[in-house]
Amino acid sequence: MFSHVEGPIVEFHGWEVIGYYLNNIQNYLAEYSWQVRTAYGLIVGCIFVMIILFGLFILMIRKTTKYKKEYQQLEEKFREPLYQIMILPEPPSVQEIEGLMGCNFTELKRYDSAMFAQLISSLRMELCEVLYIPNMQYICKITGVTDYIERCLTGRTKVFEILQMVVNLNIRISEGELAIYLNHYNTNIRLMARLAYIICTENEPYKYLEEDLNQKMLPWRPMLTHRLFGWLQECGRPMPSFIVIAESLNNEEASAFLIEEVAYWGTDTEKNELSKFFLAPRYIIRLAAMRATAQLAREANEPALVESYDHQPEYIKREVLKTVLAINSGKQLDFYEMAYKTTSSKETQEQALSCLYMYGNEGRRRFEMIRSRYQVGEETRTLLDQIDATNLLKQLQQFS
Amino acid sequence: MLNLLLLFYGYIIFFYSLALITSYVALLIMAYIYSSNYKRWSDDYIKHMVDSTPYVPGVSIVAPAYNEEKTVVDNVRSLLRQDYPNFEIVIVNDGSKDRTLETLIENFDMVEVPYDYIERIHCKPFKRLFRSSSMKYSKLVVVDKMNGGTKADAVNGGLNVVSNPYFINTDVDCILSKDAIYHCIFPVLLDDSVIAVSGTMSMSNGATIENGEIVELSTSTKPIPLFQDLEYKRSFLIGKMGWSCINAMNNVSGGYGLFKLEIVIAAGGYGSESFAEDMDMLFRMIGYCCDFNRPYRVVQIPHNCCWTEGPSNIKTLVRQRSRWGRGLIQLVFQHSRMLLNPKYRKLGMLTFPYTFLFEFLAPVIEVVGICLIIYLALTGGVNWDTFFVMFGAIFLFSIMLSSFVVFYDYLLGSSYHKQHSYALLLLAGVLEPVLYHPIVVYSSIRGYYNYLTRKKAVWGDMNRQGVKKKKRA
Repeated sequence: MFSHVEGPIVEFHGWEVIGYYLNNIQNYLAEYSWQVRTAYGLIVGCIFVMIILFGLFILMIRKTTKYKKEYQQLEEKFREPLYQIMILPEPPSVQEIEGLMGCNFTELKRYDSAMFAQLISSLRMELCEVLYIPNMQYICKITGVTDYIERCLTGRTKVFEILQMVVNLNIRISEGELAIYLNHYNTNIRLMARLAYIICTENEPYKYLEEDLNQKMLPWRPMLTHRLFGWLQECGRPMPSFIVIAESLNNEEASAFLIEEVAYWGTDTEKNELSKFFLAPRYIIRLAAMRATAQLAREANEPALVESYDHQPEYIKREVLKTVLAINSGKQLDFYEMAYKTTSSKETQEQALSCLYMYGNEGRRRFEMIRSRYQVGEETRTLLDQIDATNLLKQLQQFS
Repeated sequence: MLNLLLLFYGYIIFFYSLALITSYVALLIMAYIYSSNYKRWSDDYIKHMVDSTPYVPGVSIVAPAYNEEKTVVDNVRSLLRQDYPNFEIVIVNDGSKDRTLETLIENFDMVEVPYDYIERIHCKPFKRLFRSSSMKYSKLVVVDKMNGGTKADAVNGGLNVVSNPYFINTDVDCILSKDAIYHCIFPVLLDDSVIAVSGTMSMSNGATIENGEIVELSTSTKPIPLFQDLEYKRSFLIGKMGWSCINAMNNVSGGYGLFKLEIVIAAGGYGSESFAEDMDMLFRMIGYCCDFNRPYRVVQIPHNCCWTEGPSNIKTLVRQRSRWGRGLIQLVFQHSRMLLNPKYRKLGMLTFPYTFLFEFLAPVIEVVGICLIIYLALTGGVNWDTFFVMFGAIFLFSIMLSSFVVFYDYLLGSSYHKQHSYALLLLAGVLEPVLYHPIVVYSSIRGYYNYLTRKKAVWGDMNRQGVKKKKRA
C-alpha cells in the first residue's frame, strides 16, 4: 500500500509491487549516465548473488556434515558384517546374515539405501578378487540397494551414476528397468545401459555387443568389457563367440580387442584359430593375435608365428620376437640370431638381443658370444651391456 | 585534445572491464557445466576399471631435481607411493652441485647401468643412468645430465629415457595425491584425442606432511601463500575448467600435467630458452596438431592432484611473477603467427586473443589507469562519486568471484580438513584486490621490462620454508 503525501491511497498487488520499486530505482538513477547505472546494477547484482551464495554455502555445509555423520554411523555398524558376508565362499542363510548384521531384514530397510550403496561400493573396491559376487548381490537386495537402483532408473534420477553402480557392483535388476536406456540419445548412458544389460539378462545378453563394437572404440570400452567378461566367466555365464564377431566387425580396433580377449576367455577352438591372423591384412589384427598367443604361451602357434616374421613390418617383427620369448620353446635360438643380423632397425636389434638373453642358458651363451665380438665403447657393445645390466638388475630385484 | 583522449581512454577501460566481467561469468558457467558432467563418473568405478584390466596405458612421472639433497628422499618416496598399476618415475639430476645424486644412490640402492642413449629431443649432454637393485624401488630411474639452466632442458633429458606413451611433468618438490595418475589418465581413456591433461593444484604451505603424504590440509595463515592459494583455485577451477569445457585451454601447469609423449616429441620437446615453458609447450603441441590436421583435446580435471609450496614472501613472489611475466611476453612474440589465425582453431581465434587482451595487456592498462587517476586527482578532474561507484562495482565483483571459487571448491569435494580454511580464503578474497593484486601487476610489468631491455635472466632459488611435518610419536 502506498500513500501519496497529498492524495489518494493506492494499493499495489503482486508484480505491481516489484514494478513500483523498479520504477523508483529508475527515477532515482535517471540523472546518472548509463555507465554509472551499469555499475550500480553490477553492485546490486553482486550483493544479491553473494547473499544467495552464502546461504547455499551454509546449507551445503550442514547437509554434508549431516550426511558424513550418518554415513559414519552406518559404516561403524555394518562395515565389518558386510565384509564378512561378502567374502563367504557360499551364500549364507538368513539367520547367519541376521546374526552377523545384528538386526533383522526389516530393520535394515530403515537405513538410507544410497548410503548402503556407497558402503558396498567401497567394500567391492577393497575386496576385488576375494569377493563372492552372489553374496554381494544378495546383500544389495536385503539392504534395499537393488530397490533404490530400480527406483532411480524408473524415476530417471542420477541415471548415469546408477548405471555405473549396476555395472560396478554387478547388480541384477529387471530388464524392463533398462529398456528405456538401451537406445538412449546420450552415448555414455546408452553404452553403460547396454553393459548393464549383459549382466541383467540371460535371454540374449550379447544382442547389442556387436552393434556397440562397430562404433568408435574409445580406450575405456575394451577395459570395461574385459572386466565384464571376467565377471561373466566367474558367474559361469557363457561367453560370446569372439572370433565370429571379430570377423564380422568393420571396426578393426574392436576386432583386435576381441581377438586379444580370446587369450583370456576364448575356447580351445578359438585359441587354435589365432595363428590364422598372423598374416591378416590389417596389422592391428596381427598384433592382437600375437599378444593373445604370448598371453597363452601356446607352442602350437609358434611355427606359424616364426614363418610370418619376414612378412611383417618392423614394429610387428618386434612383437613376434616377444611372443616367441613368451612361448619359450627353446627351439628358436637361430631365429633370434637371424633376426638380430638381418634387421635394419636398431629397436628390433635390441629386442632380438634382449629376447636372446632371456631365452634360457643357451640363449645367454649365444648372447655372450655376440658380445665378445665387440670392443668396449662401441655402440653395439653399449647396447649389449645395457641388456645384460638391465636383466641382471631385474634378477637382483627379485632376490632383494 | 587531452580531454578527448581521456574520454576515449575512459570508454576503453569501461568496455574492457565489462568484457572481462562477462568473460568471467561465461567461464564460471562453462566450468560448472563441465565439472558437473565430469563428476558423473564415479571415482570407485574409474579405479576399479583401471585396476582390473591389462589394457591400462603406462605413465612415466618426470621430475627434475637441482640441488635438492635435503628434500629429495622424502619427495621421491612420496612419488613412489602412487596407486597405479603401470608407472615409472624418472628423476633427472640436472647437474646438481650438492649431494642430490649421491643421496638418491644411497637411499634407493641405485646402480649405474650402461644405457644406449638416443637424443630424441635436444637437451644438455646425458651422463649416466641409474636403476635400483631393490624390488621396492624398481619403478625408479635416475638420469644424470649436465646442467641446462632451465627446467625445460631437464624435462627433455627425462623424456629421452621414458618408456611409456604418457608422462606427467612435475617438480620433485611437489606432493602428489596417491590417485593422481588415475585421475589424469581417465580423460585419455574417455577420448584418445586427448593430448594433455591438467590436474588441479593447490598450495602446500599450510599442510601437515607425514612420510611424504598430506595428513592434514588447511590453508596457510601467512598472507602471501593464502592469496596464492585463492589465485590458484580461481585459475584452475574457473579459468582452466571453463576453457576446458569448449576445448580451448591455453596452458597446462608445469607443476603437474599429463602429456602424450608422441605429440610432445613431434612438437620438438620443451623449449629450453622459454620462461613460460609449460604454456609454450602446449602452444607448440596444439600448433603441431593444427598444422598436421590432427584432432586434439586438452582437458582440465576437477580433482586436486598436486600440492606445491609457493613463495612465502614478497621478494620471492616478485621474482617468480616477473619470470612469468617475462615468459608471457616472450610467448606472445614467439607465437604471434597463431594470433587470430583460424588455422589454429580455438586457440588462435579465442584463447590466444583473450590471453593477449586480458592477461598480457591487463597490467599495462591497469598501470596507465592508475597514473591517469593520480593525474586527474591532482588536476581536479575526477568525479569521486562516479569513481567510487565504478571501483565498488569492480571490487564487489572480484569478491563475488572469489566467494564462488571457495564455494565451488567445497562443492567439488576437495575440502580442507578444517572449515576455518574457507573463512580465511573468503577473507583473502576481500583483501586480495587491494593488497596482493598490485604486487602481481608490478611483477608482470617488471618482467615485461626485463624482457624488452634484454636484461640477463636469473632463475634464482625458491627459498623454501618447508611444509609442516608431523612429529613421530
